[in-house]
Amino acid sequence: MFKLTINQRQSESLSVMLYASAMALCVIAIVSVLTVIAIKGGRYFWPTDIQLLQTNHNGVVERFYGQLISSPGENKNSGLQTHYSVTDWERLDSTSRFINVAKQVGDLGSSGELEEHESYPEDVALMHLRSGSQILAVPVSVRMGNELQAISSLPAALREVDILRKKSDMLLNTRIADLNGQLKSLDTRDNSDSERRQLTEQYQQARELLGEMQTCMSSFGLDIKDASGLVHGIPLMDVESYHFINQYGAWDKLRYFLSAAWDFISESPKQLYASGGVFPAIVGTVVMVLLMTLFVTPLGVLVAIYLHEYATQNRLTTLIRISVNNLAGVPSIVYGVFGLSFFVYELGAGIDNLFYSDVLPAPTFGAPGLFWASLTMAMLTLPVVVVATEEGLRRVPDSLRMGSYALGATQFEMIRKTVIPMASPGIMTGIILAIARGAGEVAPLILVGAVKFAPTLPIDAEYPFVHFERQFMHLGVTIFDGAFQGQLTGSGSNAMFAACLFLLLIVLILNIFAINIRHRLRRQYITLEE
Amino acid sequence: MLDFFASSKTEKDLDALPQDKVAIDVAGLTLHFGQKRALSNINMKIPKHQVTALIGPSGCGKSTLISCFNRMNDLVPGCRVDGLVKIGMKDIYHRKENVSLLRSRVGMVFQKPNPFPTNIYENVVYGLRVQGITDRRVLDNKAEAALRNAALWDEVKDRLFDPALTLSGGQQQRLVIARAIALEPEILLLDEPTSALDPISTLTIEELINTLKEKYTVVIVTHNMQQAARVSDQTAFLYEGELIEYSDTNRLFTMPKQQQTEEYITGRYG
Repeated sequence: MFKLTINQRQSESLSVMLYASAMALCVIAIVSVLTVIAIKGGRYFWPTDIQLLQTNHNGVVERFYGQLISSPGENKNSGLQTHYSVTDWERLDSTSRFINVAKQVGDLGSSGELEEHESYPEDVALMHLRSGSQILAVPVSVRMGNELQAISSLPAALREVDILRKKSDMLLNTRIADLNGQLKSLDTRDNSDSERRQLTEQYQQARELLGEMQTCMSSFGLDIKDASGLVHGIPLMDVESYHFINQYGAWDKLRYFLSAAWDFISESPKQLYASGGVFPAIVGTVVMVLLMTLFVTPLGVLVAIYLHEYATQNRLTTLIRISVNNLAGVPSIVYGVFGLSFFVYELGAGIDNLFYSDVLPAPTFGAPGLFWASLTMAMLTLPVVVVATEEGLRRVPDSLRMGSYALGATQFEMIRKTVIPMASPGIMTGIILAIARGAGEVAPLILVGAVKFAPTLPIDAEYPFVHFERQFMHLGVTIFDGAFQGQLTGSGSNAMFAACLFLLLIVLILNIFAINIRHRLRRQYITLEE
Repeated sequence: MLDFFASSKTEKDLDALPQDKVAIDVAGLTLHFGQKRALSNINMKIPKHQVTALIGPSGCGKSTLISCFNRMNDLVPGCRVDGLVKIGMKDIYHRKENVSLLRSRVGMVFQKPNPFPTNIYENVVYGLRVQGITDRRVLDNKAEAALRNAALWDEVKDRLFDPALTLSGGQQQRLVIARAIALEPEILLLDEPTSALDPISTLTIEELINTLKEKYTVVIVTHNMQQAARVSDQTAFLYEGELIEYSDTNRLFTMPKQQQTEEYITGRYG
């Protein structure tokens, strides 16, 4: 008898251990997802030290500066190679190289064998060019016209160029644009010649001034020396910033990290996502998700209220409920195909024929765009909202419905004043789930409006502010694209992780908003303790 | 003994009550839930400004009967009502009857306190808001009057905007009564209002019922025979859907006419 109780206890603690270890596994999975994304994404912005590399490939010695992207780790016999970001001097751009560390003679697959990679020269700088390129080189001297100056004058020269650029931009945008407008209005009004001559003269003067400024700007140059000792000259106006990373302490590196992260979220992509940022993709994602929420919430809530409150519970409603629940399990690409074939090609073409017939055959709504993408995503997330709302409605106790009826409320008043407020946390749960699903979906979006590169944002200051017919960029699509690039060239994969990090952050921020609202609603309508 | 004779002398004949003294006139009321008959041929006249108690064992139909008076039974699927229920000379089961309006005239309080999960003030003015009253001053005045009438004002006047669920069970039940009387109904139906409460809260509610009958006609369903004897002016005993006996409370509890009534009140069954 005594032994039996011990055994029961043991089995009890054993089952508790089982539950606890399953939960621990779950926690590990979540934490590892977040850590991998955070580390890999963060590494994209963190400056790595610049190394002087020397390779020897069958007697051909090459020297170049490089930044480590990834290393194969401890196992040197694996097929993996060390991956460096280096400067391509032909295109003045950064490119990447795989280098075999293992000293195997005659390995033709690699671009060389590493002889030296331990030196970190202090005078090498990472330079960002205005085109979005990066180069690694030693700045040697600054050229002003024909005279050479020491490298210590580089900050002053850069500042001077910057001031000149701002001045010339202002001249171009205000004075010249102004004169241009006046001249154009003269053309139409056909006024006196003297006025025209005067204006033309002013215009010429302004143009000359601008030309002077530009020649002055282009007279500044920078001489840089690559690893093999060759000196290249580049115009200083091309240089955006320079960083002596090997001289940076932890604090400077953190500042570089933050400014790089800020550039990533605030700039447009340059050079096919090789550099620049994902700002349009962030805007596109947020606008699409908000529009989707706007479409799906009223529809889903109304459907759920009808199903739960008004419809008589019979086989038909059960069938409808089952179908709605199962819609959540339909593969998302199916919604994409539906959106493309029905919304874009049928509805969109119909709208074009009715309202935009003057611009046909160029499609307005008959092409994939923001509106159709949001609508498709709304359809995709509709079951989530319906199910969550119905769950919320089910949790409103009948005693409260009775109480409301007993005070002379009609069914509509009862639902509006008691049921909906009490079910609102459930509705918010549905919206949270819909946001998470909508923000992460890629497959249907590619079909109905998300593109790799869109020239314009879906929202701007121009009427009607939200441009439903425009195509837009989406972080999910950016990640998808980055993954493909990573497969092909091995570069850009870190940008993918960085985009992933920001997608996660966006979903988190949107969810925090929604959870906050839900929390407030819950506090306002504390559910009855049954 | 003297008291008994006095009451039997002044005993009113409930069937011969003049029309203007009748609050609810039930004639030949039969109610079915699907195929099952829940009430059969009930005839009773409930006098105005008095407390009428309905007693009987569980499942005898007393809650069903009280729900007929404000048509809450309509919400139960498969419910069919035959016969007449007249309130203020009007048949409330007439097909042109406005049920929401009827329910605002005939207030109802349930067994378990069911305040809405908002604050105390919003609970009290819920029915008024449903009526379309938006003037803040009117709402404030009516809420205060209702809370005073429900003997709750002194306890909650400093925390009108606290969640109603922070009140105790007895306070919640009085809040629900206040919510009902804020609409100034003619009749107040109480469906076992104290069965979920402790004895002290029960006492408070019973005292409240005594003061309420000055303004409203009160119909109370109760399990507790002492309570019926304490608070009511007349009592009806129901058994298996039939009205066995309906008379003056003193008389019913001291000299029941029917065998079944006697057996029930002496505790032989039920």
